[in-house]
Amino acid sequence: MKVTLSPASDQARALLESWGWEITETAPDAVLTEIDGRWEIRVRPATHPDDVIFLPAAETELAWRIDAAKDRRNRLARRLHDLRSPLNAVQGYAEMLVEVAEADCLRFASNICTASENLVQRLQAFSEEGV
Amino acid sequence: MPTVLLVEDNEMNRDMLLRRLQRKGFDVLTANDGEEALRMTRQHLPAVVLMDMSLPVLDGWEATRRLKADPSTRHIPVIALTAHALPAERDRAIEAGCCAFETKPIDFPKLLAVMEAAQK
Repeated sequence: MKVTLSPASDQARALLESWGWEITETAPDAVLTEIDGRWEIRVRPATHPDDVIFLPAAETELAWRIDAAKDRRNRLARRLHDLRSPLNAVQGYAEMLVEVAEADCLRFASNICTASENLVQRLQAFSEEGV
Repeated sequence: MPTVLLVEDNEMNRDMLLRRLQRKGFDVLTANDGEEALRMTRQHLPAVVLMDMSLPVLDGWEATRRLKADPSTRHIPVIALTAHALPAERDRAIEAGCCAFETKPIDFPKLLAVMEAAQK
């Protein structure tokens, strides 16, 4: 496992290195933040309330929790992908309708565009904040 | 107007973008998967390829790598169009050889600007 330590205390570094883990700032599997006797595990961009391990940590449990966090991140990415694809068609067709529609139809098409853009913004915030 | 190859496996997304590009005056060719994209690009040498990345048969990353490895097609700009919005996906597309990365839902005016810039 490759992890970033925050803060990188000598004690924490010694423990991880005794397991043969790499402490790095570059492309880590997870960021471990030490707060009040526990590590919070962050796998960007998603975070999860269960991503916590109390210290002293056991290697197998920490590795399992990091893998679980990565799985959650990948599932989130797949779900966002599955939502964006149909939304692309909704928004694209609605924008085309705005170009050709008149009177009430134009208003309805504009409303679809507005609602769709709103949904896109929420999706974007969701993907940046994680679950 | 230049010829554009639109590579998209989702029928509705392909139809929607095809119509929008045609309304702007582009000649648009379409492909449903990465293998077809390679064949169409080599045959027609379009000015730009709009490449969905999650494709059947051969995915968009590998199709782009092969286009960039082929001397007859490496000069053609490939723009990634993808529903994968995470920053790592952008890096992955650029590493494969894409010159730009646009996420779905597509911002159409922005896509037109990116297409114009890619051809310069």
